[in-house]
Amino acid sequence: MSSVKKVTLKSSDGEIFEVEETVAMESQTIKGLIEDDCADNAIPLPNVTGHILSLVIQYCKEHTSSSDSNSSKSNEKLKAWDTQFINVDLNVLFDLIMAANYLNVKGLLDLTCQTVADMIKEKTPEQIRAMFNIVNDFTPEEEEEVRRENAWAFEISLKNNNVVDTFEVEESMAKELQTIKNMIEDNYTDSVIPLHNVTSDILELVIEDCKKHVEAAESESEPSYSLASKLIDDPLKA
Amino acid sequence: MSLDNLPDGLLLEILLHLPLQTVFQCKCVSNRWCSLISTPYFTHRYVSHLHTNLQPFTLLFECKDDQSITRVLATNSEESKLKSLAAYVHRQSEHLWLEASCNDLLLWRAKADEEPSPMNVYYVINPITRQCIALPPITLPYPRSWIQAGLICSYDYNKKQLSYSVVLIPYFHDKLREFKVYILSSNTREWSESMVLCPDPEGFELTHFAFCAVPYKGLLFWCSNSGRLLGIDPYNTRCCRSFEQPIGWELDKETDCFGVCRGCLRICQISMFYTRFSSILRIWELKDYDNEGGGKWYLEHEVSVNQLVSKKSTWLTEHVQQKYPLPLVLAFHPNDGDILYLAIELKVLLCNLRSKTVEVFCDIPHDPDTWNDKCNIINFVFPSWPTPIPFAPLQSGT
Repeated sequence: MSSVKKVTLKSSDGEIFEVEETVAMESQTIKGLIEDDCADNAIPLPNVTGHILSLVIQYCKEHTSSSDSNSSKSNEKLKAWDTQFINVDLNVLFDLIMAANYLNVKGLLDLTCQTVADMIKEKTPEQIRAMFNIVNDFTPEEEEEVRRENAWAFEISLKNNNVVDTFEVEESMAKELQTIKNMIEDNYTDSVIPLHNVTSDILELVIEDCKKHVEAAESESEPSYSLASKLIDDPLKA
Repeated sequence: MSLDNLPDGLLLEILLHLPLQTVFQCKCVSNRWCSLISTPYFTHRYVSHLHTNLQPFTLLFECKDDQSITRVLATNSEESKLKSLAAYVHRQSEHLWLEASCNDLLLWRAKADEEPSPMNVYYVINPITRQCIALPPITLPYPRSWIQAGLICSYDYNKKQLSYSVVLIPYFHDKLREFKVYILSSNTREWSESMVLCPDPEGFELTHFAFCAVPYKGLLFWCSNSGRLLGIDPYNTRCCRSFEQPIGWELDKETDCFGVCRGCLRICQISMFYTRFSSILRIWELKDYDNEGGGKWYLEHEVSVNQLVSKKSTWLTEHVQQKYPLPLVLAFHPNDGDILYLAIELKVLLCNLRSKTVEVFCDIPHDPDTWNDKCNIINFVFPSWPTPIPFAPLQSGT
């Protein structure tokens, strides 16, 4: 039986892990220590708890064996394993990001960061703050300025797979909304205009208000510039 | 545990994985996120992280609409990133002429009710962020098609400064060794007259329907119909670069296309040498360009137009191979040296010169307007990071 070289890793809370050298070398940090001959005794990792370290080791094991020429693991299988692996709660995910960074495991860092990025991708700034407990430290004026400067980034509707309710609206009413008016005039509307940033109940209110404005215009009465019309110019604020 | 607890370096790693628009939306999350995203380092990392060669690009070209008004259309505009850009550019072309481009900035000129108009106003606009600078008006007694315009720009991310120059060349007949140009640079923000000195003693002949000026290595290059290039330095018009036409260039046939591909200047000509063999399409690339005067044309492609076939459409094969009219050459691909965009009937074609195939790329509502007026075709590559126009207010009414 050939003896496989092993290294010993010690987590911040004193847990000991014996790991094959090749697996441990997935971490560039540990690889460096091994190559510098500093790995004879247990390598202390004061920044990583036992729980997280065991996950990192699991990842490294899986990814080392796949680069082994004897292994028949396909890319799809590995991806599937990764998806399963990364299905952890947010706190663990953040700990994994920090561990992957500290231990310099590039694949794990990419995987964890991409996972968090995917959570951010489909959300509005408000939703991002809520999901990740981020404090909004803008003053209302500052926030409005940043919004305005970057209005172009909000303009395109993102994927329309979040549309739950579709509302059939008369074109004259839809044109009350500048955003939609532009889309219609440029013939860039399909059968359903996705309004990703507006929820159903808000959209209902907006449509109600549009109706009133159109009716008011038709009856030649003074259009009311209420708070609702502010809503109409910038449905994103809703 | 919140994302606020992660150090900036790790927050940055996460944000690198987001699409461009989402990154800019994230500026609105908090002061910390906004500052992080606005650093030059972030831009640098973000741009390196993307595969810039995979960025979508579109051809912006002028076309008369049903009311005979010249508007700007974009090819393959159904792509999600390009949709908004195409719509915006189309809207702007209602009251602006598209003149030139440099990277992701476009130079426009206000349409006037009568031509020549007393005052010409030019704008530098980023069509992604909609930021816009209006240049001071200039009085030039020439109609729009008699003025060649060029834009060159560069952004310093560390100083957060945009430098740009606009060069206007009023049309002149014959070959001239010295001719007048008007230049505006961002450091003066004023128009000034300058005399260009052509290094070639034979002079330079400006073509009436010239291609857009091509910004390249700090110079603005124009191409004459005889295949000669002139590169003007907006900061020093007495020191220009010139290149003779490539060997094999047909002197009595005009330039069919001029642009940049894979970082090199390219020029294309379809020969009019009608024999029983057919017209030959040739593309030359200027290689070994350096600032000390180096640069030589190399023949990259030589294809018989009647050898081009379409694998998908026999109609197309027949049309392309017929001797007259020849397909119109629109543009090169920014990264792929084998691709050329052509137009025939009301279709833009993608031609692969290596496999000698053509396929329909997209339909266009009208013929690109090249015969009656200046037609500008601009290659627009969606940027990895939009060039900021600092302190520029957003254009109203967009």
